[in-house]
Amino acid sequence: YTVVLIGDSAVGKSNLLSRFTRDEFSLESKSTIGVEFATRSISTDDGKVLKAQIWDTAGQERYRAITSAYYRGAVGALLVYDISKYETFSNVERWLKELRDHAENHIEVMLVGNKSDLRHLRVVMTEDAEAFAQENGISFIETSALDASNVEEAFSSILTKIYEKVSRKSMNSDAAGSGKTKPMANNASKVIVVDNENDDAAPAKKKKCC
Amino acid sequence: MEGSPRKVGYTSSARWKHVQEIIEEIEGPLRELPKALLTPDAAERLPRRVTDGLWRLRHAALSGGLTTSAIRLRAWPILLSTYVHSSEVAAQTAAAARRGVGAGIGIGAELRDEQQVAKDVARCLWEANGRVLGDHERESKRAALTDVLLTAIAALGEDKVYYYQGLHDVGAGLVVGLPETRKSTMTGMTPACAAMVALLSARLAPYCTQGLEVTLAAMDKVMELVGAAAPALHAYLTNAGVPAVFCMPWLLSLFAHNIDDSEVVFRLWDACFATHPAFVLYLAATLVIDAEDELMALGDDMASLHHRLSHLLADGRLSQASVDGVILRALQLAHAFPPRELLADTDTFPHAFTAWPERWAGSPPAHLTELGALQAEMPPPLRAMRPASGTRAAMVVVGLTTIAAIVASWFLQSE
Repeated sequence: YTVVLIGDSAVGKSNLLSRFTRDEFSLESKSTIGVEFATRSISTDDGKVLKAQIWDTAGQERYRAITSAYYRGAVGALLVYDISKYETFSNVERWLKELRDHAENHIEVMLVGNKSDLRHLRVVMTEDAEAFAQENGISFIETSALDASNVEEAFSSILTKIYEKVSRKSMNSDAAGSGKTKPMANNASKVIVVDNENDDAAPAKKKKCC
Repeated sequence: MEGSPRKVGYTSSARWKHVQEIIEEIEGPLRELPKALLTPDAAERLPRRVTDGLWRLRHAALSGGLTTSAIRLRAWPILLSTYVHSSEVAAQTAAAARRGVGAGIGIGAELRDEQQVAKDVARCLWEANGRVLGDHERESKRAALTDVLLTAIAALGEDKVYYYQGLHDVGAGLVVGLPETRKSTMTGMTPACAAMVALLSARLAPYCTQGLEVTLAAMDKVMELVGAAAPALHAYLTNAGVPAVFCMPWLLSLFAHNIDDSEVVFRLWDACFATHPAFVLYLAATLVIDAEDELMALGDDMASLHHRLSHLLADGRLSQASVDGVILRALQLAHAFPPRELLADTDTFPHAFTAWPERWAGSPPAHLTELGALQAEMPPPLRAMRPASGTRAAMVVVGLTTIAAIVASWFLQSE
């Protein structure tokens, strides 16, 4: 499955990704230029292993021309904002529109309020974000890449949702919908072994599988 | 000890002395020349010793690098023609300074890109020259970086220069590489700031446009070079559907975003500043071509190929020992597929990016084109070396000769 991480500059997209794929967090973070990417697998309750390719995109607006190309192949999107920066939340609507314009119709979207460890600096209320998510029919979670809370949950929840959606679809019909998603899954299944980055993640999930 | 690079190559002090001598020869005359003589059209009127000296400086920058911050502080402004660029923008700078823009402390009208600059500046300069910076030093370097970015943008005009994420990595490199905080009397700016203005005017001109189109075109040119020199690899990457985006940060940041060792970055910059503005494309293509075997072994999966390509420069894979080889191969590539041909079919790129040599520098002295004479141009430690004294020494001699021949013929072609 291909999932994209989108949202304003400096909300913590890259750290969410490194927390999820390598269990790493860096205070000495770096801006992302263009698109970067990492992979990881998780296992579902019914024992299936889901392999995810996660594309991390630059937050600056000028890069959208290129990052939006990655929305197209994506079955999921994590739309990230920073709970301590209101502007990053007000821009969520624009990001959502970007997705509607460029992504496939059935893309699974999750709103992610990151930096939940910054309690004393919070300016975006959980209820407001929850309400916004509900209005727009997307799911919502608050995370902290720094203390790792809810990061695993965010990714596995969106991946599971995608999995359920895809398997429902392929059960219902073998036509258009599944025809589009299947090759993608095939693609992803080849990725896993190659990268160093997966080495940490791989043994853990194998244990889970068995 | 005999095989160690320090023994067979220049010793750093001999090299330092050699480059310093070249600079001494031209810096004075350049300073004394009236600014009118430094404009592009007045190139032919530059004294012969100045143009000769410039060529020898370029040669030194390409073959072994400029080695120390003290030398770069004097050589980069010359190579980048900061005197010319800053004289063109001096008026705007003064106006901008009066408004308080670029002071880096938000006095006066806020620039369009100021917030993005702040976000990126806050996420760089964790280390410099191989050591972690203390809080105080980091903050002062970051303030200098903010000043470099905003002053350069204000000086060239917001309507012409659009800040992009990655430019801050170039700026951070300049702040570290040119740590002089006093303003130069020639440019009216700090050396780092004048260098940024010069870079934005030519070498980075394709990337600081409003949209992303020119950047994408530059990335395509990298793949075109890969295709020209390594057709099998190119076909393989194309079939796998690998997008050229892996080289985007390389071009946008002149490799500074991807390489942690600043000395390696500065070696690449020495070479970039001494050559055609498009040389960075050749360096990028060379890095890909160098990895051909490794890439071909990965299978045709787009994701893993993309991942490997984006990490070609990570974890010190390009080192101070290997960087000279990359520069040499990039020069050979530029010789085989010269920029004027590579960029001929398109008017996408700004003129300042495609034009070379920078006209004010004049044409190369004739004696530099002859191989025999070239060897006489080499500094004593190299001239004294015999190929028999070791393969590495032979490589250095062959390498330098090739570099000189390539550069000379390249310049002649362009004239």
